[in-house]
Amino acid sequence: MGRDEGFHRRLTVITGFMLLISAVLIARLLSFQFRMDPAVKSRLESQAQNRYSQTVEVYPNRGQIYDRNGNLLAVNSFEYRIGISPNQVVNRAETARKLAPLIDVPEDEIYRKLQPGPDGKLSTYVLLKPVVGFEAGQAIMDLELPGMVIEPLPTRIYPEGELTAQLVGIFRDSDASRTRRGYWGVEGFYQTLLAGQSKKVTTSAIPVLQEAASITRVRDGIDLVLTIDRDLQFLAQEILNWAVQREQATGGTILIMNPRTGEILAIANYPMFDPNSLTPENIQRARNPAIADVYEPGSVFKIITMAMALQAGTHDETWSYNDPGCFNPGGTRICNWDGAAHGNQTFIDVFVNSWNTGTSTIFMQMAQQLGGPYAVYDMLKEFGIGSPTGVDLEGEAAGILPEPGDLDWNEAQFFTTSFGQGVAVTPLQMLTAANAIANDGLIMQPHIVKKRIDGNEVIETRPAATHRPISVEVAHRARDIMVRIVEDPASLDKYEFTRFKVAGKTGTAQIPIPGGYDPSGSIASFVGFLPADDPVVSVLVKLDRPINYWGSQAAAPVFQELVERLVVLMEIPSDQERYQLIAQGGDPFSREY
Amino acid sequence: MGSDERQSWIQHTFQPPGRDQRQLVATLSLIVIVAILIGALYLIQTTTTTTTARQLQEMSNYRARLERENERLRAEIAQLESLPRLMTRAAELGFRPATDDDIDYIVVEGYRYNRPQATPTPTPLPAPPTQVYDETLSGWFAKQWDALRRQFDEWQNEG
Repeated sequence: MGRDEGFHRRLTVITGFMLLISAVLIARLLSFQFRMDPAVKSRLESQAQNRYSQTVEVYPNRGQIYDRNGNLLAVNSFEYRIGISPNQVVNRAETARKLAPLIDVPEDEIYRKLQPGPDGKLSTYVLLKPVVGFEAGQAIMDLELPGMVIEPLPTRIYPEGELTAQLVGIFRDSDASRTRRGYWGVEGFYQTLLAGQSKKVTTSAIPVLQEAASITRVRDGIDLVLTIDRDLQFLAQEILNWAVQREQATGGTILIMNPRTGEILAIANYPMFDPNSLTPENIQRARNPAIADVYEPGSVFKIITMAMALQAGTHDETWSYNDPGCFNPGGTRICNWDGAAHGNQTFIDVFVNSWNTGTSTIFMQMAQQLGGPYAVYDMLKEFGIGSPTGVDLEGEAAGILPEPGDLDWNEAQFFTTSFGQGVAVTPLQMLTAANAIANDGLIMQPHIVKKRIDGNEVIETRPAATHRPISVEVAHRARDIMVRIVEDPASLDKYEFTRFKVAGKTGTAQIPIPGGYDPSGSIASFVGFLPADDPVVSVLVKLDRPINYWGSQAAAPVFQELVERLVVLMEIPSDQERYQLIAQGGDPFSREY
Repeated sequence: MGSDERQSWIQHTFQPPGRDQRQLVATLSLIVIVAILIGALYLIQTTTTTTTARQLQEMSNYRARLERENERLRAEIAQLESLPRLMTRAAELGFRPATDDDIDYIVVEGYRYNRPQATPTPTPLPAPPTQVYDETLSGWFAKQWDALRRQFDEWQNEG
């Protein structure tokens, strides 16, 4: 009995002791739940949050770029960034062996990266290769190796390659960060629209919650349809490459526009830019010389002088002057291209024969009759000279138009400007100004985006007029003189366009160097449009340092060669057929141009 | 249940040792069984949810991969249709670019080309925003009420 009593007493003590411990534990648990130190609680919550969720930026699909006929010029694809979490790798040797050939990194280097650090701990992330191609990335995914971190990186493919690279631009890493963005051309100008809107999304490691979070949509980029015609672009580039080779030129540009709408149909440049090569030498060619590089236009600028004089009313077709061959206005010596005097010359002769003395005299008389050179400069500005055209391409230059009061202006420049020296324009500026004559006196806003497609909504770019530097009547008179320049048997710029009436003007510009002009080379150019009486296309051809010095020998034949094939692609019937169609009440331009 | 009855039930359940404890054991067993059942149900539900979620995640990853492959294929098609490639292939097949001399425009006597009149495309009206309901009792009531009202409106319109 006494033994039982002792046993019961010990049992009671043990039970009491265990109950006490249980009570302490329960009390501690309750304190964790309800009365935890706020700092500890916050830290634990933060750890839990990091363990079960992560915030990632979800990138939208970049908008695609098409030509006017729906051919893709820029399309999305993917590359991959390959990383690994060594602390999750099961078999390091096997992982290194399988990855090495796919990411083109030596096996021992990968194996070394999977080893613990100096502190003996395995790191949570190691970058193995910043960028691998699409196929390699997919192959690594198929291996299903534990610990792999495979991040898709959006990239761009340009199916037409060099053909459209300078006008489309490129998509690449920015210098400052690892994020990618568009540079130059359409990619640069429309970066915000093309990029869309990314979103920071907090995803949970708990799968069901992650699914709920990932249904949040980001805003994809807007697709762009350009005014560029891929066929015309190819033709222009092919002709330019041929011309550069034939003339042994250092560079060149062919620009094709619709003067009625301001649409840019093709921009071909030489040298070309390869969008798939990122060497510094190649990257330097990424900018578009047709909008970014200025040059002294030379005699093609005389068509602006002609239109201004007609518009101002200071000169007309009956005006004439005595050509001295050379003269010295404003302290500078100005000579004709042949240096010879030609006696009495009419207003039309000045432009048909491209007399520098004639345009200088016209400018001088305009300044005298209009109350000073400022009025003449104001008219030049109306043609957009000295200001950017506002084209929707990144990297446009404004051109140079020194005016009275500027440090780099002198009186001689006023006279030389009349024949395109001492003033600098981009090829786009020059053709846009010439388009005023083709388009009944109206300058249309040059543009390269025809439509923006945002989901089901299509936003068309409406043609917009920016200036009216000349009246309809003056535009027609100037156009007729430009036709004479091409057709007149006495003209140096006479060309055979038997089936079409073409309006045009050549230019031979000297190349400025410090202290004067380079005598060893020229910039040969031609500006023209057709059909002259109802223009649907205008063209600028420019060749840098051709072997034939004169624009009439180097650039005009290129224009002729281009037009022969251009009219086929654009379905422009010959004048005779067009007039027959019009006589029947038909519309010769059934195709939209 | 009155307070006397509750008192007698408590006394009856927690009666001192030596008395019949069958009811206590039965009650405790019932509680344990119910707890086990609830636990089992919870485990089954959690397992099913997790499995489904894993499947959803895998499908989501697969979808993303297919989308990327689709983009890649689109790019490949565009590259195969690129103009420099087509021109090379056409030249190999003996084609050459047409010139103006190769084309004859035929003027058909009396034919009048009628350009179709351009009609502006109407911009589609934005769809009315979909009502969002939350997963609460009031949300459920709102949903049912809206459905009933919609049916009533449709019936009224038909009438």
